[in-house]
Amino acid sequence: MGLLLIYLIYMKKQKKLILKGIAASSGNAQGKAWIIMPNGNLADFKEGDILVTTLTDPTMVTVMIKASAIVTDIGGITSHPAILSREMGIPAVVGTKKATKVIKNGTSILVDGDKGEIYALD
Amino acid sequence: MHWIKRFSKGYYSLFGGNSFEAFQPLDFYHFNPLWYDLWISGVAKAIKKLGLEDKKFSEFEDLIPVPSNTRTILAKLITAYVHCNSSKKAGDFKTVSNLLARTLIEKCPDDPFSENSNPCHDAKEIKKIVGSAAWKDSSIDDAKNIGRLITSAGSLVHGLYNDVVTDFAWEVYGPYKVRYKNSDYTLLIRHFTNLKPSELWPARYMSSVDDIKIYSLYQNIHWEIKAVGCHTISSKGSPVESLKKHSIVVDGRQIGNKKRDKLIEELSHKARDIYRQIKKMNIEQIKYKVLLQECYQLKKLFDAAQMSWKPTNEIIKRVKNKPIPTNFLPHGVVIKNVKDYEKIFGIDTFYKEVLK
Repeated sequence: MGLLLIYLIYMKKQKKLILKGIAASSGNAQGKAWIIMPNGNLADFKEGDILVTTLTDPTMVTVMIKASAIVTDIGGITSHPAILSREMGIPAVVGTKKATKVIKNGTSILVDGDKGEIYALD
Repeated sequence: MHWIKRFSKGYYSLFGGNSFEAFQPLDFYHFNPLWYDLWISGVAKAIKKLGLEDKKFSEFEDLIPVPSNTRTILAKLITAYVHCNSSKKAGDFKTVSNLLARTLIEKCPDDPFSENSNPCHDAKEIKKIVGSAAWKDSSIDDAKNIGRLITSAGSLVHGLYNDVVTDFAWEVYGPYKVRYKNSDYTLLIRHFTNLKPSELWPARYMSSVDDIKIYSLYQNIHWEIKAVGCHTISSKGSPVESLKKHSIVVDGRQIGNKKRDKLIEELSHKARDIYRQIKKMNIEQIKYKVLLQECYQLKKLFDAAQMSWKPTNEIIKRVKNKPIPTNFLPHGVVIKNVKDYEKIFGIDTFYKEVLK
């Protein structure tokens, strides 16, 4: 756990801050970002990937429960992605306004759910 | 203090610091003023027919939905009254709103309008729950899987009832300070209910279970519930790391990890499928579904009064092919204080025209 934290801090120092939003569920996670729209293709989403969307809805629940973090364009700390992320113990940044435009599909990102920051790792 | 002021404080605690932009599948706060007055007149007729205003609370408690749902009906009827352009009947709104407020005051006397919590069990009931639950020690993995179960069940509720009447099937009670085996804990009771509304959806979208209760004992975390249970907020601790003991009861029977994991799988797939179906609907189909969902929440009351719970032809005619207004809730604007909330939702107007 300690080594992972040191690694994440190191990665964060190395990489570029690309987006800020509302810190909705604490913790750090890095992984491959998948931009999922309502009724979108969920087949490529793997356990540990990061869900990036406008706002989560129930069409995405099968990937929400596999995600290592969630990032949304809209929503506040009482929005459902925020609440459900906290319940599942995964970081979430909501209300970024433009995550689905700024984050590139399939790229590695780091989500800091304590500060509400997203870093590009590629 | 009049109940509406306390209600206003509780509901502001839900919206304060947030903006309106995420209602699915349609913005019901704008939709409801088209027809809610007709429904409220039906509800008032059922209340009068059953003589509920003169009855003891215990005699009609079972006819009214869970507290969070009751609060959302109040919030909607107030806004619908203020923004309704038809010749609404203030007396009917008074009958219904006063009965719902009385229900909350009697059922949840410690915080009826949920300014910080949703405590609807008395000390004796809590003692019985803590003493009789078959508690299991919770690992981090258990806690994460309980989070996944909440996500799956909550998402199914969002499919079955949308954002429209979510609280009808997703309630959270507490937080309660309790003592168990010489240690102090915070108890939360998450309750998913009405998961088989066969009057609203075909059987293929229905869950195999009707009722899930998740009892959780936490340490080193602060929980708050603002107005509605499904918007439970935690601070000063992680829900996963702070969960110490749990018990999951499905349709009255305690379940283990295997059944829990099966449920996560089943409910998440049902939720996905039902919402995909919703996304295929056109606006007129969605409007009709929303009418059904709204009317369904007081089905027990209508059944008891031997009246049809379904939307009447007059209600359907009011909304059919009518555009949904967009004029009073400022989408994207953050509600900064209770005065903002009261102005937008018409609290003072409702008090002056209906309750005073």
